[in-house]
Amino acid sequence: MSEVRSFTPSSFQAFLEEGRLMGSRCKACGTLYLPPRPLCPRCGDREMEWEELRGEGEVKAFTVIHVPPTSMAGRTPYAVAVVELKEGPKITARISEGQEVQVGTKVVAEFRKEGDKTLLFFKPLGPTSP
Amino acid sequence: MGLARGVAVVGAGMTRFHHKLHLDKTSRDLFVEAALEALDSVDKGMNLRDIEALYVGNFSSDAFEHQGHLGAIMADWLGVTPVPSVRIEDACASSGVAIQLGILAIASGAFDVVMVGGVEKMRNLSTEEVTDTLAMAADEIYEASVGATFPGLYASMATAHFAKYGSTWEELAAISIKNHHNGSLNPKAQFQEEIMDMARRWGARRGYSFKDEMEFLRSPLNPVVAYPLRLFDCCPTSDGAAVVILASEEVAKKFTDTPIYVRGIGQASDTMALHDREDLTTLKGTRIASRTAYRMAGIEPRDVDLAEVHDCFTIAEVLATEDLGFFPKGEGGKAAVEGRTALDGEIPVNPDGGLKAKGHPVGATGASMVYEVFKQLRGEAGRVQVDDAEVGLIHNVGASGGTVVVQIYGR
Ligand SMILES: [Zn+2]
Repeated sequence: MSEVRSFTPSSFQAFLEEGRLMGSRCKACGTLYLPPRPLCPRCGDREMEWEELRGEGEVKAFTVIHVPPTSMAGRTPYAVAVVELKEGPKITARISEGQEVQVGTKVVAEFRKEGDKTLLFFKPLGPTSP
Repeated sequence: MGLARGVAVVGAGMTRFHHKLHLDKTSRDLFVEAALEALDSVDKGMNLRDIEALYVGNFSSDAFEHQGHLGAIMADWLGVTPVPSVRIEDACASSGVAIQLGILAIASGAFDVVMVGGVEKMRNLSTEEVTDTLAMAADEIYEASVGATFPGLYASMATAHFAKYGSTWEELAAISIKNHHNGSLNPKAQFQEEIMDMARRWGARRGYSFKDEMEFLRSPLNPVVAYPLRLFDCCPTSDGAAVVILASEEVAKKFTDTPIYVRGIGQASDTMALHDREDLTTLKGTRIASRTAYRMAGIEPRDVDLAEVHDCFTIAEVLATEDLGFFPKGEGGKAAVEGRTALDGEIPVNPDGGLKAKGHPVGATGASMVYEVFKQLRGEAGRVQVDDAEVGLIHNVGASGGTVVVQIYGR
């Protein structure tokens, strides 16, 4: 059923609402994309299929925001990281509140409701890092 | 690949970049001021009627001033209608790209003389509104709405660079200190003050005293904006405009005996979102655009006498000096600490103070870099003059590297 969803940001969001982290895989060359893309920049093919990622990964870069955009006013500081999933692709997401990460920290996806939207977060795997 | 015919810069002008001076002006006032200064800088004189086309770089007058259609506005208020006028938007690289297109238009044979510039009027909004507007240059869906700010994206590149190369925040601080020093000597700069002088002034007001710059930069007076970047790692927001006049090689000598020639140009795009890039410690666009420009100019990075690079954040200057090939990867910060990029160093970087001290009216920045190179190569750069400057490079980046322009100029 999910297979008929188009490879758009709104489909990606709809999957997050279901607690699923979904990317798209190119049927021609096998490259996996997260966030999902409707065509493959690597080989130019347009045949993609949905694929669920397990949500386990590693922090490749991060920051702690102290001067926020208006949408996050009053909620600083908060950490944002570029996480590389075990399956290969990377994505930008917030780190769950109160958790600290470094480059190299192993993390796992969390789906949290904020307002009327489910957002993707990552939290450190196992014991909280110092 | 080269240009079908030669192109030269024959005039350049800019307003002072500033956060307060221009509050009562609009972008059209600033652009016209810079354009007239450019016109008046033409040695043998030039008339507005000589201008055959107008290119205007601007990021977001729509959000900053509720004004669109800037190409026509500037043509109108400059009095050059009915020549074709175009607005170019590529975030912080808007006027770098505008100049690229102006160069190509002349090289194509379509025009002999074009005016190209950039303008941004940012300071009428609150800091939060400016932060929001600048974030429009990132991927709105997959970066900005997640809470990543523009400083946050460069901060992320910094943590990745620190982890991969063992580079440090102290190295970043050296870049800020160097650029403020250069800015202190540049009459067009927003901040014409050494960091140590600011430390004394701010400290006196708040009851602190600092033994050196580093103590000040580690203090609460230099707060974290996006870890590991602090206030003095970030360029300011600014109002300002810069304009250059380009002419074909055939007609350039009609306007000046000392035109500055375009030797090489390069431009590249990259993914909008950082996370879609293989390497978070390099701007691939810089590598590709600069290699294209070096090849066209027939030179190597070591042949460059001075470089105007896009230091929107201190880490950006580290990435730039590495990706442009001046230093090996991981060595850019160290090179700044050792003074190799200072005014009297082996490759002076941002002699005008860079975005950090000169200011960064987003859409005007690329043109202001060419303004500085024009002055430098003609020996007219005043107290920031680099000795024997014959080859100058400009490097203008859109947001986190989605657009990169590199141009090489020579006498
Ligand atoms: Zn493919």
